[in-house]
Amino acid sequence: MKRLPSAWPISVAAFLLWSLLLSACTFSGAVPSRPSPLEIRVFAQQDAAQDLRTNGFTRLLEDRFNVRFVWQTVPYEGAKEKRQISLAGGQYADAYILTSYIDQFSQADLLRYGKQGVFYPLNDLIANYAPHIRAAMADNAELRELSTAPDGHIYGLVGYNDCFHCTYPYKMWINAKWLDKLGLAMPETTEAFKEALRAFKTRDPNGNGIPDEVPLSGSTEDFGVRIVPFLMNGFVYDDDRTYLRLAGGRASLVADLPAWKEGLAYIKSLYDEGLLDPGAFTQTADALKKIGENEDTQILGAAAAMHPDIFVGTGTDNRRGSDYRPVPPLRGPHADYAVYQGGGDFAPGAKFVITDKASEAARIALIRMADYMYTPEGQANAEIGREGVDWRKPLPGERALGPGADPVFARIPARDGEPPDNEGWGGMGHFFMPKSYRDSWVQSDDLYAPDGYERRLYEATRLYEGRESPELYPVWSVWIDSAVADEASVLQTNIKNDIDQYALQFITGDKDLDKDWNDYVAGLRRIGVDRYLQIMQTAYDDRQVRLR
Amino acid sequence: MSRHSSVFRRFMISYIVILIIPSIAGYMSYRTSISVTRSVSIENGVTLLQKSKEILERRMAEVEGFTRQLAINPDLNVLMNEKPAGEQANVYGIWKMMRDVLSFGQTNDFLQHFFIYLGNYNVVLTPGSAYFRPEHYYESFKYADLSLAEWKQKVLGQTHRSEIMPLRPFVSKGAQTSVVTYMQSLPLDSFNGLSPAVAVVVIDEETIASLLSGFTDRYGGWAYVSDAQGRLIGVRGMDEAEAARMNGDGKLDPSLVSQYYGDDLVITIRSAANDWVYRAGIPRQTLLENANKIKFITWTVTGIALLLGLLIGILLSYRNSAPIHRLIGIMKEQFGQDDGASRNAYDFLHGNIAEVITSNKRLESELRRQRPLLRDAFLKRLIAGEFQTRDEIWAAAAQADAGLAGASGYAGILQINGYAGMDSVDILNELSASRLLLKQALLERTGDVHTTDLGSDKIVLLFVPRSETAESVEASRASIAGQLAELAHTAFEAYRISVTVAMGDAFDSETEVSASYEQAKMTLEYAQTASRSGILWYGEIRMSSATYYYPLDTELRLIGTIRAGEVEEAERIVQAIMVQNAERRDLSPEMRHQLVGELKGTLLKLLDQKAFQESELFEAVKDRIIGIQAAEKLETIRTEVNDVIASLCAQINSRKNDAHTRIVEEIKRFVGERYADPDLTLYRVAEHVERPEKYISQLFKETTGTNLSDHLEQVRIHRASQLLRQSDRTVDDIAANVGYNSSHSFRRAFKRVTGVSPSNYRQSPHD
Repeated sequence: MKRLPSAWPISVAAFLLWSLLLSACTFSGAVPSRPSPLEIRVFAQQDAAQDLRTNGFTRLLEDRFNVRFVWQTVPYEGAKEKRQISLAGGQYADAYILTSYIDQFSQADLLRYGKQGVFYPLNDLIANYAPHIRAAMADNAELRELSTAPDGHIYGLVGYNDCFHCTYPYKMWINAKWLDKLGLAMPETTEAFKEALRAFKTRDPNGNGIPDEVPLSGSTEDFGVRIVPFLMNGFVYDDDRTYLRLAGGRASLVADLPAWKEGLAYIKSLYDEGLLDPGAFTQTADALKKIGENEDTQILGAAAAMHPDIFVGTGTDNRRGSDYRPVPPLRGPHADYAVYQGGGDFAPGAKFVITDKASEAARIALIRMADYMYTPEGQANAEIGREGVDWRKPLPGERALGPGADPVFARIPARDGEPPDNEGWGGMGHFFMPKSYRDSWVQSDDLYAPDGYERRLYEATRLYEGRESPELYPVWSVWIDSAVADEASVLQTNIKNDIDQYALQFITGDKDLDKDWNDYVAGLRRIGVDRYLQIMQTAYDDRQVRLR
Repeated sequence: MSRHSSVFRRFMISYIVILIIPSIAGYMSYRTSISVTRSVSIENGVTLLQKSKEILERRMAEVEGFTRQLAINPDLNVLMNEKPAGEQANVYGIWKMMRDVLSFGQTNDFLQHFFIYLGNYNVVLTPGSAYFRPEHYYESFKYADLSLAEWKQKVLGQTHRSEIMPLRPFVSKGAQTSVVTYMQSLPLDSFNGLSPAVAVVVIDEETIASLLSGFTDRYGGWAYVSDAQGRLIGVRGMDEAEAARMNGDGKLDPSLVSQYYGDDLVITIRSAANDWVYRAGIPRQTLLENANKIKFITWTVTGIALLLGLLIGILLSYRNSAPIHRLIGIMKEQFGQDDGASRNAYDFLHGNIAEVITSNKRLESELRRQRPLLRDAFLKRLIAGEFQTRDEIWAAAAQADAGLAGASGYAGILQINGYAGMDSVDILNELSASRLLLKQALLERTGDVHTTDLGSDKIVLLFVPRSETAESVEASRASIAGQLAELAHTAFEAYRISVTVAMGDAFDSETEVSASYEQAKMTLEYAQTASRSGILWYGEIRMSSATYYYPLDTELRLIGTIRAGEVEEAERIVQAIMVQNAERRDLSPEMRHQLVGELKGTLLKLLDQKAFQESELFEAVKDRIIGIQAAEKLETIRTEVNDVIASLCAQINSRKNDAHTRIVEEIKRFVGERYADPDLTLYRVAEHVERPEKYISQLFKETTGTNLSDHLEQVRIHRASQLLRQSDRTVDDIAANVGYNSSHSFRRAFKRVTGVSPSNYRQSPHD
């Protein structure tokens, strides 16, 4: 009887044990194949019709730079307060990408947060990872000055928009169709303007027999839609920002001058006659547009706006866009200024900052994204949208906006009334639009065609060009000393609030111009106008020294 | 392998049964863990839904709280109760209110979109914008299924108390969505009629649905919330039509917290506060994910373990059943049974072992029965003087259980008088009875006597007092004499039996018993011839006989002894004859002549055997025998006779030795041939040489000086060392080759014999 060799069962057992172990270990997780996208939290304002999460340009950036945005969005309404609250919480995002004309960080904010270390200085990042930004800064002195704080750090990027028509934001547009219908000429004085408005209200230019016309309206927002500055400039130079003027190098307030009072009286007279839409002081530009685009009949007579599209549709198939013509600066009893906001649409401050919450990889990714938007194509994608959908390459024979410039981009205009297609970031995407960029867009010669819009604005601005006051305070090139920046910004805010509030009250009759004027002036003094003047004077003097 | 089936099967079955027990236990725990996993998953789902419900309720409570805050805002109170002065609205008041409400709702995303409608001014006041034309507001933010007029009437025109409009499609600046609307008229206590203001909060369904996203993200399921009337508040993971359908589906029992519906586990919770129904569905797949993982692992691991256990079971069964089969094999061989394996192996073993035991017992009882006969035979041999050495006598005495208590004593013969020559059956019976009586009577008196019958009327007596009773020879003789006298007296008185006892001289060693017996015989003879009765002692008789003493049976004994080759015994007999003739009798020369002649004749007769005729010594010995001179002294004659006897015996012995040697040679040859067979036992060797086992074992040892088993071992180890040196085979191989079943025992044996282990032996240099 032959016995089994004793090695056999042991090897079988070993094999089985091994397979047992193998099967028990098959539940380890799968190994990822490519690095997962970097998560970056970004704070941004988002319009109601926008969805940044699914936005086409967001997707483009996410794919291109292998990131994933985690959005902290706030609506346009109350954006400023929400931004301020967000920083106070301590749980703020990795970066802020703001829409500069809705709300952005002021210079004071930059200095304050920069010194605290909350904002990460971009100098090294730009030097190492952003060749286009570096080149732009080197070539463009204004950009450099605007971006660089006195201590040499760049704490944030401005929305550089070398936009000619943006330098004269406070334009007035009047319904020329109605003027023609009523046989009126383009008004040139404040009184003539009042007459025209009166005619709009009483003589039923839209012909429906109902006195539903809104002679003049505006809005509360920033892009030239406030009505007070345009009208006040017939009396005294109102830059709607500093409320200062420089006479012989000395700064002084304009908002407590008698001319100011006269201007308020004028506007009050418009309001008392019902020529002024009450919504002008309370509504968003959206509501203003609703008036301009009123469903059945045209009811808007005149509107203050940087450009007509703010209050009326100007795209393809628009009904009334061509009806509105720019009103040249009105001549009032003391002045006929146009408000000039230097430095293009470069509101000083920053719309793009990187906070200390961002990881190193996030910082590099963000600056590279900004750099991408400093290229013309990147900028076009960011601002306008997708190639082939919102813009296209120019066809032969098309002319660019700038005289002598080569056309590079051409807009595909949206159909009127259609919801926006969520392809580009719009105003949030304004990073670097120098004159060369803007001039390279195709513009038709027909001012009232959708693709001739820029040219129309260009021509309109020419009415305002050079009409600014020689005594204006060049706030865009003045950096307030960081030591007093906080104080200055608080003062500025309070003073502006006060001035605006009182202006509204005086206009609507809530306060009496005669009785309460002194209170108003005293009130201004009380909230620190003198100190404000002092700071602004010092800042201006420093600027003079620097420029010399 | 068929021989193995039954025992092997039994072992296998028992091992399998053992395996089944933990398997069952494992199965039960597996089932438990599966059900626990499932219920844990369900619990998790319920908890998640409850959390979502809590958050939703809290947010809604905040919304309600917000409207309360508005209600107590003094500026708003003033504003909404103002009477409009002419056409103009209180622009400043509205502007201020607008800025004030901006701070509300920063923290709760449910309050992202709300407005206050002021009836007195017909203004829709939103944070950041006041619409003096509500229709313009409605153009931007409208319900897809309500016209402007309907909205004005339904929302702005009615009073609402914490009213919630369920989900409806909504268009917000061109973007399609769905919203839930919360409406509260201000002040809070407006009932019928118009209230001055309405606070309306528009909640995007996305914000509600994001609370339910736990179910879609984690489980891949769905969830929805509906109000008490079954209208949707929020939904995630399925579209609204489906949700509405499910709400109305009768198959779903609304009271069950968890139930199966289609492919999903549906969890339903009802809110205690407002009766809203929260329902979520988790696909069965996901629920069972963990359970399936457990299942898979359990089956795999258990399967492999069972397989392993089975294989080990087979192996062990094999190993455990093998020894039993070997036992059975041996049994079958020994008993020559060739039954097939159909019988139960254990019964087989049991039966055979029982048989063996029974046979053994039988043999024992047989042996016991035979004992008296053995004893008798022993005594007869003893008195006949057949034993050469004391050791032989002891061995034989022990085997026959004769129990000689001492080494010295007296031999005697007791004759029952009066029956000489009669031999009819009755006489024989009578004699037999007498003998019995006498023996009994004697045994009653003393236990130190052994008896055996001689003929029909004589009894041989052997008095062997115990060695402890250190009596002198004289004393014992006296007591024996006394006992015999008593016996004779009693026999005559009681039974009229007349006896004559003839006693020989004392012997002081067992080997001298026969001599004492001979003396007793002679004494009896004398008693008969001299018609003496009673007790006679050898020393008392005077044998002045003129004839020589050389009885026939002595001569026969001598011949037999020489033929057996037993030199010493032969010499002793010769010595006894000489003693008898020299000391006890006074032989005349003629008598001496006769004696010597007869002795010579005896030797010649011996020589005339086949055994000696062929020997070359024949002539020489014959001459020597003839050469014995009768005239010489008895002493000289004795020496010569002894010489002859010595040669004759040597011859015999050498032949015997030859035979022995031949056997041993054959054994050696056989072993040398068959050493490789592990079943080479003593039994087989004995079988082969046709001698008993004990015989060959003793013979081998005597001849060669080694045990047979030791010899076998040495043969095997020698061969093994050869193989180790000369071949490359493995140690185990070699072990099997030289006849070892177990390589372990081989190694042990090798080391025992050579002093080193096999592997070391292989590695060390040899010469």
